[in-house]
Amino acid sequence: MITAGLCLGLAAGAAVSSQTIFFYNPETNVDNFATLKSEFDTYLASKGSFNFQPFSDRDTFEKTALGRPDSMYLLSSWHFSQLKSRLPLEPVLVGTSKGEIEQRKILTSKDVTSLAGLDGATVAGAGNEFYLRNILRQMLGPDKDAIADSVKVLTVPKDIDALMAVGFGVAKAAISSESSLQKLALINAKQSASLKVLATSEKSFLLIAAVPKQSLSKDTSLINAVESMGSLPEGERNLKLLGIDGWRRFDTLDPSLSKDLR
Amino acid sequence: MGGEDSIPWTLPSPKICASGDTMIRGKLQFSFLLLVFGISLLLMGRYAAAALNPARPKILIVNSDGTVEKYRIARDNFQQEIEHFGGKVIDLDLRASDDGATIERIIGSESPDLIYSIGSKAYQLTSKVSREKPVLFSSVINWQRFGRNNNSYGVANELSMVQELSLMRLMLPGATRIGIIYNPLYSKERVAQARAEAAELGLQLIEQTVGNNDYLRRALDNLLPKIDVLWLIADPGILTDRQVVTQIFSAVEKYQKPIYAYSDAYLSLGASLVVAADTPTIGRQAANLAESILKHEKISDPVQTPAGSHITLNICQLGKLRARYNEDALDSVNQLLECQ
Repeated sequence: MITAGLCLGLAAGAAVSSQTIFFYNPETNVDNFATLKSEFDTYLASKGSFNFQPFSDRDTFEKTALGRPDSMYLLSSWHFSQLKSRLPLEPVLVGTSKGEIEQRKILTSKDVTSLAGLDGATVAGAGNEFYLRNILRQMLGPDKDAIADSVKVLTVPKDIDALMAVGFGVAKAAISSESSLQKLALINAKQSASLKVLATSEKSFLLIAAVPKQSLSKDTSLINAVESMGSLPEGERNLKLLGIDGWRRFDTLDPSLSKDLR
Repeated sequence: MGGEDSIPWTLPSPKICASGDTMIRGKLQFSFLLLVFGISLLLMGRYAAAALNPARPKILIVNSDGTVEKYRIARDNFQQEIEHFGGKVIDLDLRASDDGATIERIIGSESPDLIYSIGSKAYQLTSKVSREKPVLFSSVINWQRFGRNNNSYGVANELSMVQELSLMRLMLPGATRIGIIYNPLYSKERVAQARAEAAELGLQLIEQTVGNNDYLRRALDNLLPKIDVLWLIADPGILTDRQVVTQIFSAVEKYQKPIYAYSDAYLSLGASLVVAADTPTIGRQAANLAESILKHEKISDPVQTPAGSHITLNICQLGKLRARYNEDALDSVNQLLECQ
């Protein structure tokens, strides 16, 4: 509902010649869109004629936001990989968290010891169901599609919720990032210790900032404004709302890391 | 009403126009009658299939009041999720109806496979007339006061103590001495549980009891200097009226301590952190549980703890108190309150 409201705001605001940062992340369900909008707009207002537009729904995001010139897209690398064949997008920045640019997803459980035990079970995870089933398939491997199809996916707002749901028996297993399990260890060591890792995903980038290819050679003020957020306290705090604390230029990455996104 | 699978509990009778004189009108009427007949057959087939096919179960949603946002969100998320499973939904809003007769009549005529009651009123009324049908509830404040029978299931409205304490630790990692003020008459067991959970998390629960005739102010003066944060629990023996709540918040302000509360209602009074159950997740969780019930799967826990949390962090208030919060956990926060 909030997203729909914010989208209407976009239609009115976009008529002005401002540049927009569009955000959609299928890997979280935290309904913080009003906060994101307000915090980013306040921050960006001092940097130029920029505004921020978060989305909670993938279809709405893809129909409304994509293909607009003079804009920037903050996307999960999983989503970016899906879009790059359809749209001429160029990654320009990669999010960092405590110096890391990549994350790994894990599948954890308390009392399931083998993957076969997941048949028909409830698996909790943050993000939309399409993404969660996709990452589950990747983690389980091609010969376990039947198990991946049989599970009931319970989408929760954030990784910590998914991990705790396993702790008190609402779900048999949880999909989360490795760093979230480490976070759980800091706040509830007993629950964290009771969870065993059943499967892991390949590494992927944390968050990608991409621009339409035709915009690349033009005004770079928006890219500069976003990149500088990590070096200013209030900018860094806003990035932390997205789960990152800074950026690295995509073109400075080792080519072996960046080849999949090119 | 929800999506295309929603069936209103009373179907309007189709009206057929009176006949005309011309051949064209007659043909049109005949075509129209054929169309109505065809649609009726389709609908009959559809409903008959729903009744006969256990994989396409019929679910009656009894909503205490469809205008209440929390109930509406739970209902919408339930419906969205149950559609994956193929469930058909019949809606009943109790806003204009205070007795169980309407529910009983619909149960008799529709014979739903499961009844999902949202809110205390719906759960209370439905439990009385459910005729052995499984009843699933959510959004019932303190469901334990109503009890449950063997065929009732639910998603609690309150987070567990371990969730509340863990999430407080996530957001306010520097707060290790947790103050709690309670009336033993109402919250003795709950606090005992909290004490055990806090110890496991490495937190110290500092307790202050207040009896019916004790002075709250004196109790607060005794407790507040010893703690890092005051954890406000829903104790009806303490939070008796607004005056008492105001008294607590002014005492806490004097001692410059943050308040950790369970409802957004305390934000305007100066609560620093509020953690509550996430309503959309409650609806999805109820749908997940409904699917298990309808598939006759083994249900290990008939009343589940809410799996999702909703966090509001009042960084304006924390700033005034010079209290630290965990910036690395900001991606878990739903709402961030800054000073205006």
